[in-house]
Amino acid sequence: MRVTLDRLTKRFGSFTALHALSLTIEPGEFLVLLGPSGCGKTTALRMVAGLETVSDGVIRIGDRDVTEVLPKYRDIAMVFQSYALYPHKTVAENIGYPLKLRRVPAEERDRAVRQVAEQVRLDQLLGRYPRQLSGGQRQRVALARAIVRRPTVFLMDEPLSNLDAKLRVHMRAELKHMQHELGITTVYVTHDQVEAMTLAHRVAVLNNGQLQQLGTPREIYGDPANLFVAGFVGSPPMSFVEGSLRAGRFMAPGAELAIGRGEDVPEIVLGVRAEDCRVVPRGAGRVRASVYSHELIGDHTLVMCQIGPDSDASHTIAVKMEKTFEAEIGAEIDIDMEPAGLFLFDKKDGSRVRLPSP
Amino acid sequence: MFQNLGLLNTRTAFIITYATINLPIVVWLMHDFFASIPIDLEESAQLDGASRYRIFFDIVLPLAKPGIAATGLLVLVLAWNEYLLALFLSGADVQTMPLLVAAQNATRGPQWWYMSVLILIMIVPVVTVALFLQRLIARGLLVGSVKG
Repeated sequence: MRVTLDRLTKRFGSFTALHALSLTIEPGEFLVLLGPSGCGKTTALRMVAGLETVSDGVIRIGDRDVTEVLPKYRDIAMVFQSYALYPHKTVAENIGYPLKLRRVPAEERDRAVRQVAEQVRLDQLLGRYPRQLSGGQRQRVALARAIVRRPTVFLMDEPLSNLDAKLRVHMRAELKHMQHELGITTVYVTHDQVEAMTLAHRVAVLNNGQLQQLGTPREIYGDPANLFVAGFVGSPPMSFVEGSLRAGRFMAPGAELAIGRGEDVPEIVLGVRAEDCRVVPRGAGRVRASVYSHELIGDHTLVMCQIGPDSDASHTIAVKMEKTFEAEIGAEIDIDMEPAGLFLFDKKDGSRVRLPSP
Repeated sequence: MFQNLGLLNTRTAFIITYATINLPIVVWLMHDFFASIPIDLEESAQLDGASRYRIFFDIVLPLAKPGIAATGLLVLVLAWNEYLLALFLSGADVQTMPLLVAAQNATRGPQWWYMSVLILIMIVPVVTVALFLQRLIARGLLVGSVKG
């Protein structure tokens, strides 16, 4: 089912948590709301669920206006960050509760519970209580409870954030597979950009209650709309250098790069990703730098390079090198940058500055 | 007032009085017990399709059981041992245990053996109820429901 948010706004007193968010989530789509804590993403999700009143705007599921409809009539299932399992009910009772409320006959309910439990590999644990389960198992119970009644829309509020790193990777794959199998429209909230990139068909990046960019993970990563998106998405985050634009050349202390034609801008920010940079011997690259530190991550080495005289963080560039890379800290080097991997942003409002290529 | 209503020296008067006196304590204690039940559970039940009444009876009430048991026990002990109000409200037909025990002291001087028996009899019901309710006051009922 298609979910439409039309200028959805939420105010808490004088504070506006969500500014006129307009989104259309296509049937069967996996949409991720991504943003730092307090950006309004959970508020938006709770409004779709009906747990939060709407200050302004319209929510539609399919063609039906559900803005004022009680949660129980929206046919929505939600997985909470805290799982929210009923502790006095067994796993089977937990999963079967939504069906029980719909007066599904006991036999049919049993069958459905068993089938879903098999799907999430809980069939051996149906008689247990939530307190007797591990974190991953509880997570699966919450998931099973959500899918057992085949809702029209799935909502997930950071469902993986309470799991340990290894389990999270595993559950991520499982979630994606299950969503694909069921083909149910899903809205997923997270602050973890890796989760957003791996799970989503499309990502909506939010900050301060405002939609920053809506696009596929590839677009969000490869063509960020502004400084915030560029800095939020990617690990390590995009490196930024402040400087000025003169006669199509980016100028900063120790750096001068031909970017393209265009007007002169006195204050501009250059952004570049670690994988679009290379450390080269002094004299062979376009940006002068020194090695600040280097970390062997495993399959690659992350080299932090310092540009210019001061040790300001905004003048540090992360460079991704192969795992065999070695250098003395403080070594004088140059950085070569892929011209296609350079992004310019307005320093004042953070918006993307696009220049025609030279 | 009980005199006007013709309730003096009746059980009804005791029931009304003790219920009224203990109500603030009950409300105060139960508020905390209910507040300790995560709101997530109620919201989750809402989305599962439960009405407010269903949420209360299916989810909230079972989880408040330990609180209800503990509060009930406390109020039972308070009412059971209460002396002063009982003194005002009682007559020949209706007596509470504390009055009876105290009365032993008054008539023929302290009769320790008889008083001890009465006190023992007085203790037994409360201890029985306490032992019974103790099973309900199991800690960790909420463990496993929510994390973080």
